[in-house]
Parts: sequence; structure tokens; C-alpha cells
Amino acid sequence: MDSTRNREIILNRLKRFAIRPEKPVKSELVKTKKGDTDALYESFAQGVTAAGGSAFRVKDKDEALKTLDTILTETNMSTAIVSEDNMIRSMKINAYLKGKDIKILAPRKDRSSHKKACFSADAGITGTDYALADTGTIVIRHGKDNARLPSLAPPVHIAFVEKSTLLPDIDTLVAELKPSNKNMPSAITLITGPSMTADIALQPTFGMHGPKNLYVIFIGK
Amino acid sequence: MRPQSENFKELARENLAIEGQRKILNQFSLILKALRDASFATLPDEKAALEKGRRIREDAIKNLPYLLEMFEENATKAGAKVVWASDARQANDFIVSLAKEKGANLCVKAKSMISEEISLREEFVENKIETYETDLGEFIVQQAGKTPFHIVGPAINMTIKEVSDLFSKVMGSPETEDPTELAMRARMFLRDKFKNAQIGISGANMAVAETGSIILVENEGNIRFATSAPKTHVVLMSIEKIVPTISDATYMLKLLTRSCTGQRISNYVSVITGPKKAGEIDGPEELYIVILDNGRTKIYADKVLRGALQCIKCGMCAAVCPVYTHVGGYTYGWVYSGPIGAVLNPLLLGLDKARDLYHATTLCGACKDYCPAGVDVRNIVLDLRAKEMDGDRYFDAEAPPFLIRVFYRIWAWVLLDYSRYKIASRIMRIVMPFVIKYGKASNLSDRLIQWTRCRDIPQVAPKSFHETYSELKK
Repeated sequence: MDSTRNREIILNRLKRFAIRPEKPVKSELVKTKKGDTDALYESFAQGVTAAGGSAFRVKDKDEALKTLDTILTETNMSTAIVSEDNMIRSMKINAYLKGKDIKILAPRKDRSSHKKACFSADAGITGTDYALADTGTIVIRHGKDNARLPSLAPPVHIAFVEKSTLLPDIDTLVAELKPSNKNMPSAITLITGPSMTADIALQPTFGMHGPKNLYVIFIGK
Repeated sequence: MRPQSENFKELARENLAIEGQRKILNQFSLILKALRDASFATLPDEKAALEKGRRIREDAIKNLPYLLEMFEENATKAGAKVVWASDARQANDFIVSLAKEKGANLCVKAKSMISEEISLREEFVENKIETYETDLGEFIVQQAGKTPFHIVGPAINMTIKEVSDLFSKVMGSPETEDPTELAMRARMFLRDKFKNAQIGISGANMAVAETGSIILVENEGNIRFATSAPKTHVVLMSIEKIVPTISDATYMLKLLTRSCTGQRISNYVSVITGPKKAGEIDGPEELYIVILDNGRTKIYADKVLRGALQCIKCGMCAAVCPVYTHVGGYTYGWVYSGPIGAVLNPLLLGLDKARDLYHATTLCGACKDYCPAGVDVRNIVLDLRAKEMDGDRYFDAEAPPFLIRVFYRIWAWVLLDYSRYKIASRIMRIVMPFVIKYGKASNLSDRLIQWTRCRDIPQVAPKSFHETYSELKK
């Protein structure tokens, strides 16, 4: 197959009947409206719950760690994979969990052991980059310190959201991302509730391939 | 998937006779429509939203080649390898040989209509590459050796018992009536496949020109697995999947998930721009994007038919279609079903191979009213019928016999003018009693015109409305 030749043929055929874009191909950037955090959080928590997840609001990072501890204990988690993103680092989660009854599967530096750890962990603990109040969505920009599998492969996903990253909706998220080829990370994932299916007789079922439970801990009053 | 659209009538009869199927279709459609309406009610102005959706898709199609070039440039900059394929054969050959080159013996597939269109999975299996559909509905369909019943819910026509029997056969698991238990069995079965597959294949809900990104929408997480666990990710997309910008994409996303499943947003949305970057521990090392034509540039050349390319495959038109909700998805005989299938299948297969599909419509236009991308199926249906009458070599429509063509020309000529119509109806008044036997016109004319097979021509009234009216006025 000659891809270059196909390209020419396809584009030339189309161009005979197409017109050039009249305006520049640029995203419309909506200014972030300053909202009332309490109202936004209410909407966010409602969205998370409606999609089958659970949301908790805590005062600060110390309280967030305690909530994490409670969730891990109550759900009998014995192993966890912890993301290496800034939020997780700043909270020193690894150090906090060391004294507890839970084994941290440290993200290794090679692909296959990382994969193995993610597939065998009981829980995945990650930070988030944004949260969307309108739909109860958390947003993760994947990168060097922000792997894709910890929020997907374990049966439980626990995510931390910082108050300052709460946005009203997806339109304001677009403005935050300032989309351009350079600004986009290799992957962004928008997560609303745990993994779900209704493919058998329209019966909703959680935990289809990804997490069965999603706990979102929102830091900041 | 081998096209069967030629046998529409036969398939319709078979499907109408399947016990309980119409009930399932009806329930499914009612539930879906209620969910859809509720989710649209959360938008500030539903009509304006649909209008904006139409405009975004119409503009994207208008500017298509320029946006494709921009998409290619940006995706390449991000490290993706963009490959262009003209037809199914080329796309299949390329992806199969790529998989072989990578030494892949296990492949996980996300749901993709375009891959059904070119029978990619069958090609992989033939080439001894173990391949799994990973969307639960598609997985069931694959294991059952069937084809998708609906664009969004491929296995919604199967009962829990049927799925349970199937899983017992495939995995040797005990029977159960619990759908959650069945889903968990599929989860366990596919987990190892995600872990070990060397290659992941997905479609694309949208491809964004502005950034070179691919957007994928799902609830289950199988697409996230297929696009982040294997070392190679292949995106297969048809040329019309382009939207100009991320803000256009997020706008369409709101309409797509609402129309698909009545969700304000799907549980997962992935925005993928290139393969993983240096230092990232998961995500594909290589990302291939195969842009496929497969007959679409031909559709593009026709300014009415081109509207079909605006479709974003949400499946809402099927749920509101009075034909689909009776005959179901299999009757359309190929990948696409419902109103959009009634025009896409003939356009992609040739009119002669799917002629009945665009005749089996009531022209009610519900599909257009609900379409978030502004596809005017009714208009396209009328255009296809006109093309068929004149014969069309681009879309393989052989013109009907001379006499039929003459008959329709005269018919049209008469109906287009009131005085001609008046004279014709007077003649009919005299002729009809001779045509009617046992009070029915169809008794005689069935052999002449198939039109009367399922309807009748009543006797023309002794006086027309206008005649009665003017008499009364006196």
C-alpha cells in the first residue's frame, strides 16, 4: 500500500468539492467564571454520586489522609499502587501508609513490572489535575509522574481533588487546557464515576473492566 | 461482515417473527428516548444545541480535506504515524502486517463500527492472531458468532439466559440469571488479555484538527485498557471523523453522550495526542492512525448525499424510527442499522445491493428531529430514490425498465399540475370500477404493481372535495 499516493488521491478528490476554513481553526476559550465553591462542590459531589462514586469533603491534607485510611480499612485493602504525581508527593502518602497494614506496590521504572503491580493492586491512589462541578468529573493529565493504569486497573480508585482545581464545566476546562499541539499531554482522561456497563439486558453494572468503586476526596473547605 | 442488505424483505419477515424481539425493541427505545430527553433538558436550550451541533458537523465536512491535513500535521508532530488507506483491503493488509511485524499474537479491540465495516477482526483471526472484542456487548456478539444488533448496544436483543448459556459454553461457568455476575465473568476473562496483548485497536469518536488528538468515549474502561496497556496502539478512523477544534469536540461530546445513552458525559473520555512521551511508564510506545476512505470521497462529491458523513454514530435515530423499532438491527443486513444505516449501507455497498433499505421508510423525519449532527436522512432517502429511477453509475443503480420509467414520468407530470390532476382523477372515476374486483384494487393489480401488496387503492369518490364545496357554496 502506498500511503503517500492514497493521501494525494483522497485529498485531491475531496478538495474539488471542499472549501477552506473561513476562520482560524482555534478553540473557543470561555473565561473561567468565579463560582461559589460550596455550590460548585455540591454539584460536583452530586455528579460523582449519581455516576456511582462517592465524594468526601475534608478540611486539609491531614484530614484527607485520615479519610484515605478509613476507606482503605473499611474496604479491607491490602495492597495499593500509588501514583507519583505532585499532589500525592506533597501529601507524603507513602510515608503515611508505611506504618499501616497496607502494602504499597511502588511504581517501578520498567513497563512490565509497573503493569503487573497495577493489575494486582487492590486500590489505585492518584491525584487529579482538574474537577468539573457540572458533571462530577475528575480530569487527569497523564505524563511522566502520572501513569495511566493506576486509575484504571485496580478494582478501587481513590482520587484527591484540590479545591483550587474545581472548574464549573467542560467549557472552562478547554480554556484551562489552552489547546494547541504543544500544550496537549499524550493523554488526558476524564473520569465520571466507576467503570460501568448496561450491555446485558440494559441492567447497569459497576466495575465492568475498570474500578468498581471510585472514592473522591475533595480537599478544602 | 458479509453484507446481506439485498435480503432486506426476507430478513424483515424473519425478524418480525422472532418472539419477544419487538417488545425488547420497544422497551429499549422508550427507555433510551426518556433518558435522552431528560439529559437534553439539562442544556440551556435544546433546539439551539442541536442547531450548533449541526453547524459544527456541517462546517467540518465542508472543510474536510484542509482539516485532515491539519490533523495529520499535528498528530505527526505529536509522534503519531499517520497512514492513508483507500479501501478495506489496504487497511486490513496494513494493520495485519503491522501486527505481524510487531510479533503480536494477542490483540485487544475496542468497539469500532469502521472495523466491523472492513471485517478487521476476521482478518486478524485468519492470520492466527488471537483477537478479542472487549466492549461487553461486542464480546458477547463475537463469542456468539453474531453481528451487532445496534450501533450502541450490540447485544441488547439477547436475554440474560441467552448470555448465560453462551458464557457457560465459552468459559465453562455455571448458569446464572444475574447480569452483574455475567459481567464479572467477562471482566475476569478479558483482564489477562488486556495485560498480555501486544497490540490494541480502537476506532475514533472524533479526531481534532487543532491538536492532532483522538477522542474516545466509553463507559466500561476497555478502551482505556486497549489504548494504554499494549505497546502498540492502532487507531482506525474514516475520513469524516474530523472536528476542527477541542472546543468543537467537547461541544459534540455533550450531544453525543446525551444522544447515545442519555448521559451528560460518559464515564470515561480519553483525549489521546500521540504515543506516550519519554519517561512515561505506560501508554503505547507507538501510535498508528489509519485514515480510511472506503467509498466516502465518492459520497463527498454529491452535495446532498454528503450530509450522511455528518453522522457521529450515536444511534439515536434508530430509537425513534418506526421501522427500526419493528424490524430491528439485523434486518439492515450490514454494519449500520436504523435510519442512518438505511442510507449509509446503500451508499457504501451500492444501491442495487441495498435497494429496499431506503424504500422501507415512512419519511416521517423523526430521525432528523433527533439528530445531534443535523443529518437529514429523509432528504437523502428521496435523493437515493430519484437516483435509482434515473440510474446512477457512481452508486451502482441500474435504471428500472423503460416502461416503469415512463410510467413514473407520466405520474409525476400529472401530479405536478392541478388541471392535469383534475382530469386524471375524473378518468380514474370512470376506470376504477373496472379495475376493482371484490371491492379491492389490489386483487387485480398485485401482479402489475408491487405497490398494492400491502396497501390498497380505494375507489375514487364520486365527487371531489372541490366539487362538493362549490356546490354547497351555491
